[in-house]
Amino acid sequence: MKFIINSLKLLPLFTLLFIIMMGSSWQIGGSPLMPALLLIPVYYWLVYHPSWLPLGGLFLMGLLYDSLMAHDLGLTSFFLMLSALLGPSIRSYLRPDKFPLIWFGFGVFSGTYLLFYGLVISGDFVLFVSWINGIILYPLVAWILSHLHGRIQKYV
Amino acid sequence: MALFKRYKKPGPLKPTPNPYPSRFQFWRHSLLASFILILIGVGTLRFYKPFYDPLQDVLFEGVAWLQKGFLQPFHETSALLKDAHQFIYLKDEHGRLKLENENLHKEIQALRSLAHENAALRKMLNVPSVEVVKYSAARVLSSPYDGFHRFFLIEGGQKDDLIKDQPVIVEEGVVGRLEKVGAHVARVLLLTDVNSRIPVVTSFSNEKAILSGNGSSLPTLVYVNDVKKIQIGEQIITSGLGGVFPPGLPVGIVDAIENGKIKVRPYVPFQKVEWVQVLKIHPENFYKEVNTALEEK
Repeated sequence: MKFIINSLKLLPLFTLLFIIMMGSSWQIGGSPLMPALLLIPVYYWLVYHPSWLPLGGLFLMGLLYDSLMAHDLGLTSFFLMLSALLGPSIRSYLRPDKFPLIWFGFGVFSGTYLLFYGLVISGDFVLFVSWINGIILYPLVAWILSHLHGRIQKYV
Repeated sequence: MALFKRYKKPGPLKPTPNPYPSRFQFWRHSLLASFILILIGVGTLRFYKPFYDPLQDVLFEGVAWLQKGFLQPFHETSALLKDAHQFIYLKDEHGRLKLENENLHKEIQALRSLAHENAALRKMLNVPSVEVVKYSAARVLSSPYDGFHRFFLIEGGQKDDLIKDQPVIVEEGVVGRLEKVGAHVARVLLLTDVNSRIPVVTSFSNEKAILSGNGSSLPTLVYVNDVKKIQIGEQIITSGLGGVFPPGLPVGIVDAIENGKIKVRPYVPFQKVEWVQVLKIHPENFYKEVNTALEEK
């Protein structure tokens, strides 16, 4: 009995698997539904029951997706795991009774995801690397600017 | 027992309670620790080729079969409905096929005499005979598409003597080429994919070019000598340069010319394709010849 109950917790991963396997060819008016369709169950479970979406499972689903779409293995795994990592901090701003808010949250989540996904897949790594470099350099440049700011503040 | 429970307005989402009471369990399931460990482990193995390449092959094969398992009931249902539909119109279909058969018999008779004449003329002029290309038919398992990449996964692989870069065609024209070949499944890079490049020639203006996929349904012609010579509606066929695609295979027609950009509409209705034919050509010097063709341009 306990085994059956525990296996029911695999439902979120199964929904992901189902959508990857079935939805990879779906199109509406010539436009693909993937990868936005994949993000719907990810977001849903991250909002309503994140502990049922283990990192290992997301990693595996990402591998399957990458293998199917002929991407570098691990790319989608990385993005999905990152979503799971950031998910709990965003969760506290959402209310389960406010569907429009949760819907809006999905818009922001999927938009951000697809922006980075598109940048990496299209081969425009330059912009992506530039973004990472910007984040790394921010503390140093901000420290210099804050010193300058402090010095100027005395006289102005 | 109360028949109606009073509706309780749900509060904000709270973190789910920690299901792991011990510290070890907590650490084991800690998100950040797992994330970093997976990232370091997999990131290291990603650049270790003896591990990465076999993993990629195994996953490719496994995912294709897993997807086949998922899609099989739907394919079977679709086939059943199609069969039922055909059964209803069996008499009409029989009549149509009988007529088609008679017409084909007449065409074969006419072609036989032409073939004899052709062979005799070739012999007289000492023209070498044309090599007959063998082909292998394969069923399309699925067609994954994410806006950038567009493929067919087909049921055929190394066991059917398929090798990388062999051309894939259907009755209407060129579909693409084999991009990855597993033991039992293979991936076809469609001519609309961003990575697809096919040497072609226009039928009237005789302009050689490369058909370049861009992820949309209308690939474009690049490396064209004189864009002004090309007209809308002109047929695009393979040029034979590159050694992958034999010359003369229909590819599509020129759909639009906008700001010097020539868009081609492929003949193949990719969404309706169920079976494809793989031409068993050995594209040994493919890349070398494509480079030579581009250098000549």
